[in-house]
Parts: sequence; structure tokens; C-alpha cells
Amino acid sequence: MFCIGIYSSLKKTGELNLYSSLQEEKLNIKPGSNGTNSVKLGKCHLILAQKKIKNKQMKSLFNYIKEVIYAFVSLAKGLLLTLRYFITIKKVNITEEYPNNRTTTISVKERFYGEVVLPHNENNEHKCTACTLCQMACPNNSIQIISKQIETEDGKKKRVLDKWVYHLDSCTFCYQCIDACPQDAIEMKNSFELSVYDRTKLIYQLNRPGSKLKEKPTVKEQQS
Amino acid sequence: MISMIEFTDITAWIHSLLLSVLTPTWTYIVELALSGVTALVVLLVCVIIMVYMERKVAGFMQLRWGPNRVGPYGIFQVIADVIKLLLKESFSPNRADKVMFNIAPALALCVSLMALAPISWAPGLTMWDTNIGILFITAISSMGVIGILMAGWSSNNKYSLIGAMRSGAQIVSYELSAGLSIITAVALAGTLSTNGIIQSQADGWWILKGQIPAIIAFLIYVIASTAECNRAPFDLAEAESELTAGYHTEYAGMQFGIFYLNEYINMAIVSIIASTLFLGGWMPFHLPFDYPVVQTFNHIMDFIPTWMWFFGKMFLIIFFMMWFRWTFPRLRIDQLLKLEWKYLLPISIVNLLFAAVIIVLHWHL
Repeated sequence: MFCIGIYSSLKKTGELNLYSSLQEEKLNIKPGSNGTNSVKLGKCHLILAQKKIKNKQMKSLFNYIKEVIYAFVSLAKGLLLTLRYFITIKKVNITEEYPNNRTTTISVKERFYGEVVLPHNENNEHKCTACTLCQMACPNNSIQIISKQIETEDGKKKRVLDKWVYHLDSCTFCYQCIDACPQDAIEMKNSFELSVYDRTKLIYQLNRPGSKLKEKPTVKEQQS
Repeated sequence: MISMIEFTDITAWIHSLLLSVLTPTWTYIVELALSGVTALVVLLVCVIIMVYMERKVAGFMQLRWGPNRVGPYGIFQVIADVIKLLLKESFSPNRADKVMFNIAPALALCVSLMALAPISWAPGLTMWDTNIGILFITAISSMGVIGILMAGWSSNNKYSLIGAMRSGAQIVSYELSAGLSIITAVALAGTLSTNGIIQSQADGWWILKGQIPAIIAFLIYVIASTAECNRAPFDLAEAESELTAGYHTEYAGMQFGIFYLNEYINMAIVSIIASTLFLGGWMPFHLPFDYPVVQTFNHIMDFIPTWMWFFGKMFLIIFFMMWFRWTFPRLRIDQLLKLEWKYLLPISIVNLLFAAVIIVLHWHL
């Protein structure tokens, strides 16, 4: 139908007639006198121009149809995506129904910054050397390292951790203390249910009572 | 057998019951009131289902659960919303045109309910069985913009006015291609009566029998009617990111509720018309062939009651419209008009020509 429309419009403007008559002349071009040839060559250019016009119209029509088809294809892609979600909602849904599933299926990513913890091993040993780098790195003074002097067996005086005080009420969970720690003594847990009714309860002592620094293996031990 | 009880039996029973009590004039009046109330109640129940369905479909398509707090699976959410809307105060802003402001929602609702009259709900169950049913519906459905324009104009708010004007431009544009695709179906059926159109699909729906033109016309009708209902992706009239809420920005309480209801009633009517024209209304799914297997199949299909076919098709098209809403982004106003005038209208005109050729040459099944 489109082609018929284009054909008739071309016919109406006389372009098609001109085109066909010129086409006939084009076939009659023979090597002859230069003058006539040059005229005919000019006519040849005209033919090419006419052809271009026709091509342009065909091309725009082609582009129109292509646009419509492309539009439908791309819309169908979107529709299929949402239909897939609609059908497989039980699998693809990522909503946590939080208060209902807090004890069952809840999953919080490991990378979530919850609270700072000082891990202890089974011998009640931690890795904190009380260097206070975390305290200095903390932008809002949430960390307070209280150290004490002790005397070791061989009579040396040594500074060890007494209290690792963590003020959760002012912590912004910025992770800078963990970055600053040279011993990797502290880390962040993904626990998030941290609210309490009294803000004085938000001050924690992270090192357990009676815990001590985990001794590093000496050079001799490492070699053996 | 359940399918032996037809709606015509029930109506005949009610008619004889009323006649035994009342005079014929009063019987007529009571029957008129009864049919109107029944249609309204059925439609309101459909709207309640649709609102719940919309929220669930929206949730599922966006990887959410949708409403799930009020009642099991959130089924009482809509009722809670309606109670909230009923309890809220309806007020009109200062310097608004008070009369027009208060009339507008009612008028919009009236206009969309008027389109219910010629709809064929089941065999023999039509409120106004006229021979120009589809013409009446096309005439009425473009009147819906009056309520919107009135609301936008009388609110004394430029956002409302812009929204209403956009809605006007949109409905005037999309009315054309919707009308042309309706004409395609009417030309195939050869009648304007809704009952006649459904009867003509007794041996197969037009979307199957009418070949490619019917499919194209159906697609265009669904697109254009989505636009006529002012639903996303064509919801420029209430584009909330630009115009707060468009024409119903200033409305509160149940006046807003009526506009909301109106949107869903329009959706229901549009999908009923689409199913009447292309999917055979209450007609069961029949195949237009003459083999014994096909005849058995057609006979099995007859066992599914007509009301199930009717509401099934209606909700199928409503699901399409919701599917569009939660998939496509909103069009800009120039894109909206470009889509209509550069694409849908030329395609539907050419499509109508094709359909005419097919009808004249009896190529349709």
C-alpha cells in the first residue's frame, strides 16, 4: 500500500515519467560528437539525481517501518522483563520482611558496617597492642584506649591494653579505625540491631576481662 | 448442569415476580433502577478487585510484595483506603469556582457510567440493547475529558490547568486512532450493536478471524485506550513529578476518591469494549474450522460459563494495561503527540484500508 502511494505521488509530480524517458535516452548514448555527448552526460547526472530522490523517499519509508518494528521489539523486551519478575516473584524478590524474619531467613551482607568488635581467640587473647592509632584516626572520639604499665618476667616494663572503650553513641561507622589498625586487631561486624533505651548503655568495653595480648611467635619459633 | 441456568432465566424470574406484585409501569421503573444498581455494584466490586490487583501487580513487577499488612495478603487494604477517604474532609480552595469544583468529579463519573448502557454483559443481558451501541460508546468516551477540564479549570491552580489541558490534547488526539480501530472491528462484524458484534464472533473471535488487520487494530486500540484513560505511560494529565497530581491536585477526601474510582471505571469500560470488539465479549473461545476435533473443542469451551469468559477477558486486558504502566516510562507531551499523529493514525488508516480489502474479498474466516 505504501509503495502504491509513493508510486502515484511520483507519477503525479511527473518525476517518474521524466525518469523513464531519461532512462530510454541513456540506453541510446553512443560515442559520437562531443557536444551531444556532453548534453547526454548532463542528462545522465539528472537521472542519477532522480534516482537519488527516489532512493531517499524509499529510504525514509523504510526507516519509518524500521522504527515501528524496532519500537515494538524494544517495548516487548521491557514487557518480557517485567513479566518474568511478575511470574517468578517468589524467587527474585529481594524484600526482607524484617521484623517477621529476624530470627529465621534474614540475610545481611558481610560488607555491612554494623559495630566495631575486638575479636578474641579461644585462649582469651586479642591482638591489640594499645598503640592508640585507632583512637587518633577516629574523627569523633568514639574510641578511648586506656593502657597500663606492667612488668614482664624478665623485669622489662611494658605498656598493655587495660580498657578498649567504644562509644557506640557517637560512632558514625566510618571504618577509619579498622583502616588505621596496624595489627588488624579490630573489625566490623554486620550486626545492626544496636538500639537501646538508655544511651549510657551504648558505651562498651571491647576487651574481655582477663584477656591479654596474643604473643607473636618469636624468630626462633618461626624458623623451627 | 450449572450452565443450564442462564442470566435470561433470572431476569425473567425477577420480571414475573415484580409483575405479580406491582403494576406494569412500576415494574418498569423498579427494573430500571434495579438494573442500574446491579451494574454499578458489579462495577464497584470489579474496581475493588482492580485496585488490589494493580497494587499487587505493581509490587510484583518491581520486585516487591505489594500490600501485605491489612488482612491475609493485604486483601483488606482497599477497604481501609476507602474508609480513610470517606472520613477525610472535602474542601475547595479559596477563589476556586466552587460550583464547578464540586460538580466536576460527579460529572466525570456520570459520563463514564453512561458508557455502561449498551454493554452486553451476558447473552440477553443488556441494559440498552440498541443498534448503535458502539457509536454511543465512542461518542460518550470522548466526553470524559469534560470532567477533567472542569476540575482543572475551576481549581484556580496552574498545575491543575496544565494537567487538564494536556489531558484535553491527549484525548482529542487518541480518540482518532481508537475510533479507527473500532471502525475496523465494526466493518468486520457489519453491525454497530454490541450484541450483534458478539453474535458475529460465534465461530471465532475477530482477532483470529480478521487476520493481520484485526491484530493491528487490537494493538492500536489497546494503546489508544490506555491513553484515553490517562494511564501511564500516557499519564501526563497527572504527571506527579511535574504537576504534583495534575487536574486533581486540589481535591481531597471522597472527591479525590471519585476521580480515582473514575480512572478504574474507565479502564474497566475500555477493556470491556476491547473484549467485545476483538475477543468476543462473553462468547466462549471457538475455532473457525469444521473438523470434528475442532467441533469437540468448541463444545468443551461452551461448558465454561459466559460470565467467566466476560470477566476473564476484561481482567486480561486490564492486566495488559497495568503491565504497560509498570514497564514503560512516561512520554513527554511532544512524544505523545508524535506517537499519535505520526505513527498510530497513519498506521490505523492504512490498516483500515487493508481490512476493507479483506472484507470486500471475503478473505476473513
